[in-house]
Amino acid sequence: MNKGFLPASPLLALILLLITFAVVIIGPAVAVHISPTIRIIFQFVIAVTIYNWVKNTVGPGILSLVISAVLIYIFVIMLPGFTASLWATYYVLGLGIASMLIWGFTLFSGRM
Amino acid sequence: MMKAAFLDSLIGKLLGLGPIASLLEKVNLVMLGLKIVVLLFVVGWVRTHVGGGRLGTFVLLLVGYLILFPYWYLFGPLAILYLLAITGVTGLAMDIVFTHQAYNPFGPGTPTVGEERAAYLNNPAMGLQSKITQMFRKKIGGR
Repeated sequence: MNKGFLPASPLLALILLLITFAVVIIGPAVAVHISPTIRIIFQFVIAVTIYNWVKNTVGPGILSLVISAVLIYIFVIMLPGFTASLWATYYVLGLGIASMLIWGFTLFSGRM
Repeated sequence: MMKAAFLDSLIGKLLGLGPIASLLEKVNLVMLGLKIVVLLFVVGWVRTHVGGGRLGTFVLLLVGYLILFPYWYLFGPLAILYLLAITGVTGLAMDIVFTHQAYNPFGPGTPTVGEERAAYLNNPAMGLQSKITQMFRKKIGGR
């Protein structure tokens, strides 16, 4: 018995899955390069995240500010696209959305 | 020194190595960032296990130096694997391992490579799954 939405062509499900992951990974980098507003939002959020993490690890003080500044310069100012895609991928993986996508496309393929 | 740098740049431009050099620069930058991140992991570990003070600083300097410089060839890849593990990539790999047969165009359980697949597909004793598989095989061009 055929199940799922795409029973005849499981390759289509695989291709859709790969496209979805490509959008998740490459999309933020492209968005950061296209739109200055998105770029600033991403930079702000990532800078705050980095500072918070460094402060929790090293403790509040000058040292945490210096280390945060170096990390923010490298990851937020020099490599905004890379960091944005890493950040988005981290959240997609961390919240379990990737597992949900794989499970969903498995159902689409109608083979399991 | 300037002349050598200019010649390097010129040779790079002539050979079309600009994008590769730029990519390598970015990789270097990411590696520097990764080293700082690993140093922060070391700081957290030393503070938890040894505490602050002179002994903590000494252990931090020693372990930090050993990890970041002489043994970076070992701890660099380990750090990348650790970061991948804590961000859930291992869970993703497990999901793919459990579900990859769903994307097998020749049906679940069909070998996906080489002569094994051909022998499996040409076996008439496979029943209904075989017929579906054969139909699908014809449909996609007799692979």
